[in-house]
Amino acid sequence: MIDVTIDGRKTAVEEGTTALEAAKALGIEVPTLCYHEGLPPDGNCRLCQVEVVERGRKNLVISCMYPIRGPVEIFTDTEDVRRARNFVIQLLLARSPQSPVLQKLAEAYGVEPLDERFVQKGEVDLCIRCGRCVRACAELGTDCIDFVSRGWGKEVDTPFREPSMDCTGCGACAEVCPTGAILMTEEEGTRTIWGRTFELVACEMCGERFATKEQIAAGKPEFKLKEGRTLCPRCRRIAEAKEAGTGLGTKKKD
Amino acid sequence: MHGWMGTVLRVNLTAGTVKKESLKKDAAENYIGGRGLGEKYFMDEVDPKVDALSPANKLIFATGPLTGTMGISTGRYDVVTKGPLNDTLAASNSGGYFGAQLKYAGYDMVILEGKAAKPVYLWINNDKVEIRDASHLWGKTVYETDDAVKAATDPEAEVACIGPAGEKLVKFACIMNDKHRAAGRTGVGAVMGTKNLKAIAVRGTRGIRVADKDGYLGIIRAARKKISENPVTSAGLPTYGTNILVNIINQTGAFPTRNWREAYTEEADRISGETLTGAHLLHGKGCGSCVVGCGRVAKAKGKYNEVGEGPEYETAWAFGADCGIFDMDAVLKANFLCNELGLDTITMGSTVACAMELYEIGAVDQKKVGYDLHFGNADAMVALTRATAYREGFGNDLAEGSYRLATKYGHPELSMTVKKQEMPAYDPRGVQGIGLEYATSNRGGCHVRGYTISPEVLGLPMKLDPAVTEGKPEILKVFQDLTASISASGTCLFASFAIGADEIAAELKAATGVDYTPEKVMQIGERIWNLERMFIIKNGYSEKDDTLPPRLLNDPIPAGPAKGKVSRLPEMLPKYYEVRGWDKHGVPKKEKLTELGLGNLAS
Amino acid sequence: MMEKTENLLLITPERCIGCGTCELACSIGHEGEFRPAVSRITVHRFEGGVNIPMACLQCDKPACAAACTTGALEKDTQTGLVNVNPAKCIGCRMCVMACPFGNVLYSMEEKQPLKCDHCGGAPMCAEFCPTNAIEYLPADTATVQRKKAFSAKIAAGIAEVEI
Repeated sequence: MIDVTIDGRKTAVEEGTTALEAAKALGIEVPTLCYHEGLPPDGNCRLCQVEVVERGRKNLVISCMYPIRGPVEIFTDTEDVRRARNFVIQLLLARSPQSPVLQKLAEAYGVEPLDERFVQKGEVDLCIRCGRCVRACAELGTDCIDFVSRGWGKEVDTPFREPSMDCTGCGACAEVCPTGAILMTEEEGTRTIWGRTFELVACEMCGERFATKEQIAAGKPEFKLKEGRTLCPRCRRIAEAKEAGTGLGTKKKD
Repeated sequence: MHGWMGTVLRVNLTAGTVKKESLKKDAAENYIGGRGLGEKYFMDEVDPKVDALSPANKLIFATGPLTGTMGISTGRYDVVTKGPLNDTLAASNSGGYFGAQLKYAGYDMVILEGKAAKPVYLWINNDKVEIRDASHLWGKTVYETDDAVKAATDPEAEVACIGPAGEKLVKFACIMNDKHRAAGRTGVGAVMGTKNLKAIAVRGTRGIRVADKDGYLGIIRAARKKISENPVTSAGLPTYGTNILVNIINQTGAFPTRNWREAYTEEADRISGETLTGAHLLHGKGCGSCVVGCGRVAKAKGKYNEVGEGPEYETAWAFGADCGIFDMDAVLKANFLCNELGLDTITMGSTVACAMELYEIGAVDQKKVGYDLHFGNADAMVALTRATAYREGFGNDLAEGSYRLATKYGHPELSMTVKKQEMPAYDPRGVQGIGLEYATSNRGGCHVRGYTISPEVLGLPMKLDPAVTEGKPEILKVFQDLTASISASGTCLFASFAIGADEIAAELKAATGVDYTPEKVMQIGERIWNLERMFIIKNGYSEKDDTLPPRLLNDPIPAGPAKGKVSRLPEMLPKYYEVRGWDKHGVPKKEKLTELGLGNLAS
Repeated sequence: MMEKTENLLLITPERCIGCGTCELACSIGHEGEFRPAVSRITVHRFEGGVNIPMACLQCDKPACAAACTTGALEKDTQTGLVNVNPAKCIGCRMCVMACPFGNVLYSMEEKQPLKCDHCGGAPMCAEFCPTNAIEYLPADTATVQRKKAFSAKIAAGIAEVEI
């Protein structure tokens, strides 16, 4: 275990614990956008910067990517830290001035409204290129979105910007997106995401169109429903309850 | 809002429009909900003289602020309208899961106006409300309708509907919800039928917030302790259902038998709760949030061989002793038919009993009836129950209820009704207080407006002598007022065997955040009572209707523990008016109305 | 693994009267409001007085956890519970698809799976059940046997899942 001091509070962590994890364990809030506990860190948004003092040297580090290797002192809310985060937010706002999430952060860090000249014109773009969606899709093994192009033109899309045949339409990318940039829409029994429209499968009991064919197929084969029935989770529960109830309530026979 | 959802759904069936309104906050605080609030809205919007079966009548489904919460047996709702049976204000209370589901969909009340051009049903799916065609459902039974509507909407929707009886405008048709629970009395089902509204299906996924969550849970914990320590709510009702009363009331000598000619029978045990539990009961059942579980899932054996729900005590009595029938299988079958076809069991059984007496004295004959209708003919009773729902043959006469039936055949004195509605299962000659309750109940013959059987027979919360008239007007007022508030809150009346105004007030306060006290709760009950009284006066009833059938006032009980007794209603009525702050003609005095905030209703 | 469980939630459907109090207790405990739609336990009512409360069976070999790639759902072999770590959930809903019993919900509002967690050791459904149809009992051999008997009926035909 390694002794660490965070904002004056002493704690001990295992080697390799990130500065962000150590702070969170103490209940200290560090703002993040691209960090997600269920995904490998990528240090893309740079919002989680903190100040680390190691052997007398002061450094700003990306806390989600900074593994603790020796005794350090960490400060999560110094003047320098706030200034750095303020700058990051300003840059993010330049592309996505309409983002409520960013606007809220801007308010918290006293970010001045951007100079008109730097404000993105035209189409609303809420994507901050943090790659959470890319990592989520990779985690699921579907791997059907990634960054394309470079520089200002860099964005997330499917290979060749065409509807991906590997996509299951699960929507995890949209769920993890910190700014709500990914649009998944459902109407009249279809779900549309990344330019592909999925036919939703109807529950054979209640008729609710509850999942894509690909989502159902992705279920681990050994857990497929008996008799190959296609039931939404709710009707599955009703069916199983019915099963459990067989034989009950019939004790009084003539 | 807390407790209340804050929204009223108004559906105009003539125009096919659906509107969402904010709940009137003042009215909600002053009338709580359910029967109280529903009647407040009704009184404000409908002329008391309205024809119950005209489009101008409205039909209100009203929940209380506790409905759908985890309060003490808080799964109830009320149907408020003008009833065609009693020709006056009707509030018919029901349990099951429908009322709670209305709350989860976001509504405290649904107000139905006008009349649809063709059969329709209403589908309330949270915010989305549709009026849908129900031509294919018309004529279907309650069970068939419930299944069909669920299949067309959502497997977890709750359905309230009418059966053929409601469609045929049988005067005592009920509204059934969850297949087996009834808003039974006064003929609310006929009102729904006349509006061409076959069913309401509702599914809600919202939550009910309470103002003080921890306080509410604390009150529930303490009140549940009382429920579990009370012999009626912890043992009697869960084990035997309400039908545990057959032997108890018979042994009191107040068990009306053969259209109230007698009040005691050696054969009672054959239709008792003990017999039901021993030989027919499959399972106990509870409505939403129930802590008692008096509901019965039972089997009619022999030639009927059918599983259904029931009977309540009053049902077993109406189809059983009142008809001189001591055959549990026939009683169960008749009960199931009423559920399936949408009939009120008390009025149905009592009307058959009345017809049997008309038959025995020769006022109707076999040619007219189609059956040998002597007391005790179970097959005729079951057949006529079905015929009534479809208004077939003599059933068409029975479908008007015993008051209109007996009048038609020249013997109105044989109808055991008050304000045209049949009295249930407790003979006022043997239990004096309940006679005053029947005579003064604002919806006509009814036991659940002020259940004095509790003190007079069961000894809860204190034992009173059933043969005495002194003190009954005072205790009845307390019971009537408290009952009104309990129903308004969404609580089951049976909870009140163990808990009272203290707990109801505490639950309401924690749930709504409004500063309800036991005194306030009692006053609200009195306000509801007087509002109802002003309605029935404005629609034409008066002191001469605050009475009992002559048999109960004049003919002494022929045999049994209460032999020789008659109802001494005249000894109690003037005192009752006085205790209520009404004049000697039973009209609420201006001061009383003003005190209750009803000054605008003074005539 | 069941033997290591300190206490387990035992459902005896024969005692259930279908009042739905468990759903209300669960939702007030987890969500602070009376809202059966997000309850982790649901009572299903059938004809003939048959009422079956359904909640996560805390399977020994849970399909939900097997389908979870981020470790948001994990079987705790010490307590026997299948635990949810909402922070790790990426919202793919594969757990919902995987549970053969439909006992995992996903909340779009809270961005996490909803399933029974024994309320951290004092399940409110068991506390408020008026008929003891739901009990929270020490996992002695007799209780485990009763639970297995209930689960076996549900699992008939889904042999691959060990409950």
